[in-house]
Amino acid sequence: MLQRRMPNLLALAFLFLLSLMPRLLWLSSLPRPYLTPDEIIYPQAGRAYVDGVMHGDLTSFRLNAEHPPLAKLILGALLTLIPGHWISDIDVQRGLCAGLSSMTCVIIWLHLKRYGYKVAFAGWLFASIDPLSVRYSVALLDVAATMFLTLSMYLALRKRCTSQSNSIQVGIAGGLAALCKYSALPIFLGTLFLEHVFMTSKSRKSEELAITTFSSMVVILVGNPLFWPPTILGYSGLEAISSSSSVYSLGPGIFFAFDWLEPALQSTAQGRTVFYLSMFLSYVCVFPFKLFVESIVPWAVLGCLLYNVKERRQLSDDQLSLVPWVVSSILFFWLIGKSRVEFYYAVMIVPSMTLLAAIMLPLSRRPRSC
Amino acid sequence: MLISVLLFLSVPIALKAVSTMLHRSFRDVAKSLLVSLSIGLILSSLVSSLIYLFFPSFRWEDSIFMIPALLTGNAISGTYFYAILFGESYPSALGRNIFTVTLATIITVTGYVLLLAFGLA
Repeated sequence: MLQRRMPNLLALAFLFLLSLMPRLLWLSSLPRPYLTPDEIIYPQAGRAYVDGVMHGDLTSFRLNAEHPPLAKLILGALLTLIPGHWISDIDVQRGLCAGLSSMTCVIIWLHLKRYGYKVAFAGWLFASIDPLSVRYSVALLDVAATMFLTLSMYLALRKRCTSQSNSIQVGIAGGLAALCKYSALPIFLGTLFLEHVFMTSKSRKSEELAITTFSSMVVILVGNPLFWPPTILGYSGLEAISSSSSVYSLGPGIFFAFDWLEPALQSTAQGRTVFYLSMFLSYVCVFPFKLFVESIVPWAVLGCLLYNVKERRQLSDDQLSLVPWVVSSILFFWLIGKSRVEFYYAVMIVPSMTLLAAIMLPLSRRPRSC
Repeated sequence: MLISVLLFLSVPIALKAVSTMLHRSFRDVAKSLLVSLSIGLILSSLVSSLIYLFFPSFRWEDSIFMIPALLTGNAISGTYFYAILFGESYPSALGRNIFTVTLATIITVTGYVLLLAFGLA
């Protein structure tokens, strides 16, 4: 069994290393620290979490409570294992980021392999050399959440042979993504809901969606100590989250793009009204990320869409199965106000678009049935 | 945040109302609106990327009247892409989307005005 799997594992390791190289080269060229304050806070938080878990003291989870702990815990575990005099904390963090981002490329390969090696190679290449994915691979939480989200979608669409155990696996991977970054949760749940709405011929049943949602919620509640009862934790984790969550607000109580309309309607000064109104219009009508400047993937998606429109060709079931994920990510980042100031959020959109572009390429062939 | 919450509540209500009025399924109306909107947003990203590339000092906030033009262009082209890719009639999909957006806007604004009138906003 192992002998039969060895060549596959070696191929995957080779692809992983190839994806890793541009990321490591880019990350090593950046000043230390580059992404501030994240690159300073996350190693500290990670060490504190690991110390806290080892000594049964969960007060450490108050540190950086606005973000979920999983990615920082993984970083903390690595920092504990690797002796400090060998390599700096920031370098360990960047190595982890590059590794997680490269894992995403390998999952994309695995996902596309059933459409043929040409399609799989094209998708893997898009993901590996995409300037946006390489550039923003420095964002630990986003990269980790993207990897788990891609894994959950790989598991969800792997065979399209739905079963309870498969639904639980998808939910666990989705829950792990949300334990790295909360943004992954609405995208994941939105994808499940939209998959139900789109109802392609091979869609999941309501019961399986419920199992997936339930298992992801269980993972989130169990995996984040801040959601545990105060009697166990010793303090209110939800209060810690809410007191730290001011980082999500932007301007006068702005959380969603549409929130700019409220101060515009309430303001009595004309100058302010015009300012708030222009902010509202620009937030609602202009997509936050300049994807076409920073990434090659949207060009591929647009090219394929235009080709299909020119040929008057409808989307196939396999292409349709990816549409909920693309739509959910795009709508989420459009609605969230903070996307306008944190451009690295765009890293979470790329895998879904990469998969869609690769499957829409004219060299695509019918997938093997399960 | 109140307007956003009202909008999130009014969109499914508008979708349901439109699907009932036009005798279409809720799925069809929702799919049409969400996919057209997403493709429109991708096209909006294309336009803003090109503007950023050729006119780096351009600020949307200073050209407020260009924004509705961009919105209209993206809505029309996004729906066109949707209609072709999902094998639907373009005028029907466009009319349905415009109707849904108008209805959702009316419900949101009415809800906000009522809340203001009762001193809850």
